Amino acid sequence: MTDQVSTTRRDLLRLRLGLLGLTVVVLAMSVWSFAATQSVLGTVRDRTAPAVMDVAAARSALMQAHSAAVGSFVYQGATLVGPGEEYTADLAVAEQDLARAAGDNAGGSTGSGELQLIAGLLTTYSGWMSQAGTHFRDGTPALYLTDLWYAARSLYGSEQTLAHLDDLADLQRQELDQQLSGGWLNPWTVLAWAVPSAALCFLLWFTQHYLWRKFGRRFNLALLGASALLVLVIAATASQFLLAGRAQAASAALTSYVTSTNQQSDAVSADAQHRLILFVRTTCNPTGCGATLPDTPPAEQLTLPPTTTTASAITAGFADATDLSWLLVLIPVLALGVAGLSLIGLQPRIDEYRYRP
Amino acid sequence: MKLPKILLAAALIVGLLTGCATRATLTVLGPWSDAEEQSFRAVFADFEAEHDVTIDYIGTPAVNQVLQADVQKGQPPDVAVLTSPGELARYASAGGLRKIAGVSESEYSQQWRTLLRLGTPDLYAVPVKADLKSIVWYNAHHAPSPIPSKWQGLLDYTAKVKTAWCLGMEAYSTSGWPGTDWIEDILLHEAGPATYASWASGNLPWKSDAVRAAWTTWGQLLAAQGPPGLRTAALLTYFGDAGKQMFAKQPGCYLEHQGSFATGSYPKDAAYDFFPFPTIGAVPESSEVSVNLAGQFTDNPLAADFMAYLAGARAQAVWPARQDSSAFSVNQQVLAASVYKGPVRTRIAQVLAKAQHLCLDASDVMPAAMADAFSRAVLEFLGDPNRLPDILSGLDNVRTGLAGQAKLTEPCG
Repeated sequence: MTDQVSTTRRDLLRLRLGLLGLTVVVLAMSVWSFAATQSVLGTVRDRTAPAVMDVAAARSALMQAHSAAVGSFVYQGATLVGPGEEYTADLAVAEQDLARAAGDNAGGSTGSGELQLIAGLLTTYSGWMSQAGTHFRDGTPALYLTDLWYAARSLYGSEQTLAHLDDLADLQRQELDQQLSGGWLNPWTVLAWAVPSAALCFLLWFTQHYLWRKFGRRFNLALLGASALLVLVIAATASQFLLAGRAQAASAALTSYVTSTNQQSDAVSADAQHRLILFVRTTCNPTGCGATLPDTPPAEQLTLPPTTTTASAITAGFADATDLSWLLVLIPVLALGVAGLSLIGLQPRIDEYRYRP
Repeated sequence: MKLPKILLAAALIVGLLTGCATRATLTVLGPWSDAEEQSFRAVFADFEAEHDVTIDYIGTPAVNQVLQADVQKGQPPDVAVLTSPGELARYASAGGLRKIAGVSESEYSQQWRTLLRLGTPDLYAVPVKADLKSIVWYNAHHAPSPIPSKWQGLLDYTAKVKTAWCLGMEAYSTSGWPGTDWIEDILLHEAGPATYASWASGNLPWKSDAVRAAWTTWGQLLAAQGPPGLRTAALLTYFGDAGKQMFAKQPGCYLEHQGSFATGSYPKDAAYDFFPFPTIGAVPESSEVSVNLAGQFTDNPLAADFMAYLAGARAQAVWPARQDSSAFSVNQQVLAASVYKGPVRTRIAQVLAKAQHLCLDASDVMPAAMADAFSRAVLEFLGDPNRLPDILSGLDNVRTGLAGQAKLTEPCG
């Protein structure tokens, strides 16, 4: 009889220790997982996604600037204003976009290197444009056409501005995809908190069953309450799937936005190159156009592709993916409730055996 | 029994981890990316294996700017490879470069030993690869006959054959430099190495007779080439596209004044050959060269070992020996080892390794602002050669503004 009594007390103490221990593990892993997911999604919302949009916006503004400058020379407005006010404003916008992309840079040291290189290439581009304005006013057509052509080449040439902008955009995009699929957003990481939660679930059921078997009480209300709170902890932690899903949806919208923005800037670019090449060709005589200037300009794209979404909608989408941050407070509260109710459920039975030999 | 095993296993794991963590790293900055980067990585692969070191190579076309920023931050790379010896000489004179020891100087000609000292008594630079500039390329199936050996012969050929010269001045941010090579070669072959050296190091004014004569001599050749429209064509043509016209079914041009690297842009099956840039005045036979020089910027002992390794024949042979390589070493043992395939490459390598008079590309010796102005001046000259006096005045103004800057005083060896 003595042996049986001490075994029951020992079992009860072990169950209490197991329940409390597993609750601590569940609490730690759930909070860690949720906080890490929130942190990643916050980085995506505040830095990575804006960086992707900044690079697309810079590309677009740069094409607009180039188109405006070409127009100023083709239609002879350059006599008074050189490449023109619109060119200056759009180029400034492109530079500001790139400065923001540098602030949000998610491409690491490679991204920083690309941004430095692009800044240098833009200086080259604006230098040739400015020189074209000077030569235009000086009345030296061979030279202002050359400058204008060099400016275009510094945009479109192999390993020049557009190529590096595209490389930078790829880097930022890869980082975004990595953030949304790796680390705590990797589906396998669910095991880190789901396994201890399942174990705690099982231990709560086992304890309930043990008490029924030993003491003949079918339900222990406190342990039932602890089980209910554990379900809430699991639901709250699992809401990160919902948030990750929202982030994935916003990412898909971002892809669509960047694609349509690039298509629009490509259309503007093709139009500008078309006008520029025709302009240069009509001015350089048949023996004077050299081996690089294309014989036929790229086709004009008269209608711009439609925009599928807006930058603000994408920003709102990424913000939605982090709007459950209050759960980070609720999860520990619920876990503490699980621990407290487990103690309340077991303590009276332990006390019953306190003074038995 | 168990405890010693556990301790042994732990010691092994710790040893492995710390071994991995302490593998030495050497930072190297250079101008090459993509395929060229792969070639350079092949050059230092043996060093990494033999010294158990990881070389963290950063390749950027803006190597001068990145190096300047790193040096200003007090975080220079261990080794930097620059395309402009003048820039390296400025670091040497400012005390930023380390002297190099352990290099077998007998592997380099006296001319290169002079150039690698960057105007100082000590060795400061190691050549990674070099190019010969004083050459004229032609399609071997349309060779000029006879091969011009004098300037007049070249002028006669230019006047007779339409269109004689493949000219392309566009080179993105450095547009105009192919024209600077013309002026440099003409000056070197018209006024001689001493005058060239004086001009390149900023002592001889642009308005001096010798320099002015070089511009007007080039102007004569351009006039013989054909109508002004051809100058516009040269302005609008990318330098890498110009020479390709020699190999078209109906050649668009027949001669190209370009460095030894030009063959890299020619069609793979092209049959090409070259002749030396002809002498113009009564001056010693000399050649203009460009070179990528490595300099050591830290006291890291591994960096010193790396510089000695880079200078050695084994490392020097790697890049020239690669498939379809257009790179050359100036190491005489590499030449002796018959690394170069074909007579054309061997002849170029012989000049680079053994020529009696070599001068560095003046644009690579000048301060960046002067070299940039020089390139722009070439474009202005092609736009309107009659503006030469104004152009030379403008260049002298830039030269005066840069008078206080340290310069490479011995650009010829």
